[in-house]
Amino acid sequence: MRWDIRWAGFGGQGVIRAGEILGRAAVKQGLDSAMRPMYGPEKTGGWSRADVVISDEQIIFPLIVNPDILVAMSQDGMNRDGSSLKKDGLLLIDGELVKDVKCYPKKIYSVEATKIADSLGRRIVANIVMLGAFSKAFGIVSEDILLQTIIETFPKAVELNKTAFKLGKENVREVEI
Amino acid sequence: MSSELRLLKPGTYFMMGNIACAEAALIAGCEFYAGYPITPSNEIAEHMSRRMPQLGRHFIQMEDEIGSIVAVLGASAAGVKAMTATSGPGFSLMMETIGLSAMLELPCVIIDVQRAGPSTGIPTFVGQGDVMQARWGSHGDYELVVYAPSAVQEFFDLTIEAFNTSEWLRIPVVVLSDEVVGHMYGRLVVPEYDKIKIVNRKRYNGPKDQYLPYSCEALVPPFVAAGDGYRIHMTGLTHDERGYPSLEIEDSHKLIDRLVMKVRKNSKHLWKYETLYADDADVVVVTFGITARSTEEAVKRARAEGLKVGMIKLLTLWPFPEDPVKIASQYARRLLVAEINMGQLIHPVREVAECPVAGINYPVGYAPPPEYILDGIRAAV
Repeated sequence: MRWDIRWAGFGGQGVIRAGEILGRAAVKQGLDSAMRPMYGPEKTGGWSRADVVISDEQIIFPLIVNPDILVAMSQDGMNRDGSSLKKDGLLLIDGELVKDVKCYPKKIYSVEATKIADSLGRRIVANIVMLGAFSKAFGIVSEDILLQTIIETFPKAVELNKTAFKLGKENVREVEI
Repeated sequence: MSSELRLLKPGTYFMMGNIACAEAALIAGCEFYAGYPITPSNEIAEHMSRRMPQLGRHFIQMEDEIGSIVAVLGASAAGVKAMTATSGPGFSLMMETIGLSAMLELPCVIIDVQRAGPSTGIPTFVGQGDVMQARWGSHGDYELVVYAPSAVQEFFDLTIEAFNTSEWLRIPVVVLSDEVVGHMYGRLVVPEYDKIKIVNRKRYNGPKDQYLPYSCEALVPPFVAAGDGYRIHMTGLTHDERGYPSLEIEDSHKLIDRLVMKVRKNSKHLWKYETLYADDADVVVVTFGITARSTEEAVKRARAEGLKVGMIKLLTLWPFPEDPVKIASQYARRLLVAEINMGQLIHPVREVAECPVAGINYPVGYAPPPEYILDGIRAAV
């Protein structure tokens, strides 16, 4: 089974870091993974994307054409990448920042990741909230391994990230199309 | 000792290609890095700027790419393994000194993480347009070795191989990566160190009065470092065995013959390639780098459709692996060459192929999706 997962947002939201963590967790679990970051000439504020492939077989083609899952953390990311989502694909959005869903997914999940991160006083953890929501909505990688990978990635902010991950899990909702 | 102060431990990692390249260089014994920042190779310099001082080695950010490669040659002349990393525009600036590296027989490793060109192009997008430049970019007759990775693991392995080859033959070696392979994160297995082959240049330690730095006795003369106490003269001028400038035609012939032959005569040892279904295929796709990943997927889908298709993934681009391509062309009806440029690798393929050859070219900026390669295959079958 191969999963093509595209994270879309703007530079500074941590979509590439989220993709890296998800891929690393998959490899820890014994799966194969590839993550391809993409961004424009500017970083912070510019467009940003992480394409994560996870497979239980060795990955041959490591890039994504039409993702199975789209994670849109900004309206701009949705506008840019919404149309690439596979027919009957799955969508996860930051419900506060994405108001206009420009695709026809089978299911939409929503979490107000940026608002939750702000409530923790650190907007920078919005991507970790999103990873929590991702884990609850789609699974794919074991929750324990994913959380462990997050902790290892940010050893100086263990409690903050644990809380962010937990709030993501608790607050993600399936929403009407 | 903190783990940061050591080499990357054997084990399984999920790592960016550029960082895997930098860690491979450290394991290969790189003691000196000089570079100038350029996308999409930046992570190599960034990582080395942190890791080299941790390991008591040297990192310098130079004023530009010309200064960088010249500093690398200086370090090599002092006897240490040295490298730089860049992308198209910086690679162009390094060309003159790559020829000097070949002429002075100072080993060095140059990483070119190719981006979309020409000129400034699209810095963050992929290209494979430096194939010919890597081989022919500097003037005059010289030979070098160019490797092309298609995965994070290969970027790691071929960087170590590049150091080994440059030390063995005393030549510049280029690792021609690309933006996707450089920026992509993938699975990396670092083997136990005793399983990793490390080559160091052969040193001379005979009598001082008999030392000839450019001796023609063997294809690769033994090395002494500047500062070892031997009399050395290095010049980009055509030189005799002592290293002194010479106008004698005999000296020129001996020198140039040796510079070229040390690579040509070892070609078969330098060729690295992998074949897939190539022995019974009507159509064989020759490719390299990230395009090989699209091609492998396309070839597997084509086989599932019942099409007799195979591929050759070249890990060594130069010296061009003639034999596998020639052999495939004796069975196949057609060879295809897939690359992210308007047709470069297709030329050496045509030179050796005994059947018609066509290109599957993809405009620079993106890696071709497997469907694109598959369309090219279907049109050729």
